[in-house]
Amino acid sequence: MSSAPTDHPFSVPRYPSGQPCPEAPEHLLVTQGTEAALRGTLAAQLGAVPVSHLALPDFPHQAALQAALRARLDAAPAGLRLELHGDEAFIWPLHALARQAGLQADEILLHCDASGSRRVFCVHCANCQPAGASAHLTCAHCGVVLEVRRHFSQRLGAYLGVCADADQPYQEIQP
Amino acid sequence: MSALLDVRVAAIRELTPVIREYRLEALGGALPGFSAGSHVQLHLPNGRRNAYSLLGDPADTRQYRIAVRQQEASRGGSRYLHQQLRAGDVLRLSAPANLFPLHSEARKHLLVAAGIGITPFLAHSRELLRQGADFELHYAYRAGVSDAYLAELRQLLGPRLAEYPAGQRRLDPAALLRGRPLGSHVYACGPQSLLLDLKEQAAAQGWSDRRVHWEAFAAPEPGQPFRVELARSGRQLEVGADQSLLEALEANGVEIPNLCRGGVCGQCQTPYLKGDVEHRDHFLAAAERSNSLMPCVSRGCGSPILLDI
Ligand code: FES
Repeated sequence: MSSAPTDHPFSVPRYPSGQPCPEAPEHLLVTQGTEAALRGTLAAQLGAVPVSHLALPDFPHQAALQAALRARLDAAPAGLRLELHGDEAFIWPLHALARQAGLQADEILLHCDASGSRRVFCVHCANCQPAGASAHLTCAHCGVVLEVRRHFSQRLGAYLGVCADADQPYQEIQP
Repeated sequence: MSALLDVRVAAIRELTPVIREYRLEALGGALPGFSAGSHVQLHLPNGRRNAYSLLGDPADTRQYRIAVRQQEASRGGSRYLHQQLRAGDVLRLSAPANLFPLHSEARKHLLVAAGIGITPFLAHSRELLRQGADFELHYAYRAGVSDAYLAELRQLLGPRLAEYPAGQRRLDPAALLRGRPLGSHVYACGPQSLLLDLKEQAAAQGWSDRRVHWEAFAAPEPGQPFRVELARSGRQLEVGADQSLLEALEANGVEIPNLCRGGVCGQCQTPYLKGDVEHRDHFLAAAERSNSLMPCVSRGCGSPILLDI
């Protein structure tokens, strides 16, 4: 048993997370953008496997997309593969929904737009909020200056934010 | 290793001409509780240790029940149980361990049994009924030979039981799995060929391995005798034709951690340095086979094996 040394923390997801499955009875693609070309590329790659696509811009809001995904999954057979494209704040709530609907983690492929928004969970007030790539942010709910840890909760779809300086929890971070 | 339990054979019941049920009760006090899918290892006076599923209701800890099929190619375990063991005899058991639990995320459980592979599903069925879970039991058997508990199951499960009597209706894994809802998990216990077929069909329909759970109940198959050397002590052992390497090591006082004794759990993984090995396990990845073996099922097949212990 040997494991290569890595600075990739265990909980932090890797993207993309797998390959499309040519044995699946059905492939469902969900994208944050329009991604018109993506469906074609995937369909070409998968041959006879039917590919369907839900794109956020076709829905009035995220909740409507989620409801549509939920309805699709409730009617889907085991073996269906789901592919999610978007930033972390977009894909992880859908991931949680799909796991709830009965998909196994390795039946969900994740492609992440790293430049987009991610979510941070403040351990002090237990709220989630959107954040950029910066290692620090001020919690929008309780005002504590947070250091964003490299620890990801799949359940929350968020990184852990912990008080950056316990002696001065409300002070701006000095550059 | 956890402590061994002493039990008395309270009753023996013939279920079919080749399958018998043994009720085991504690010599003193209650037996440890177990979860559905658990097995125990029987330590037989002839040195064999075989694993058997506990088929009783997990809620009942006054007694354990196991069922044993007399194997034609018995290496001594099932033959001993069928021919020599009597009610009133005392046996030693290891405490229950579970390598075949129900999956907590499953919304629908498909249980697939062939012959004596029915045993873990008797406990699972009771547990699933208690939970009010959605499940089906698919049972392939040979009428009058390997159809143990059929009447009991019909009564208990009604339409949840699907029967496949040999020669009348074939169990077709592809059809069984097709079009199942997303929360489905399949559990199989039976001969090798059934397990492989199910795994293959599940993969062919895009199912993740994580939806497929199985237990190989078969005891290790006999083979040719072979030689083993222990690198650290320089000791040499001869493994008999109807003995497993694990049994030979134990007979020589070398204890290796083990649970299933059937090449599936991974507990007994042991490094080796050289020799020709016939692996026979379901645990090791191809790359690991060049330097690890599972002594509960692996055998030598040529030059002696040098174990790194
Ligand atoms: S004891 Fe389970 S693999 Fe050997």
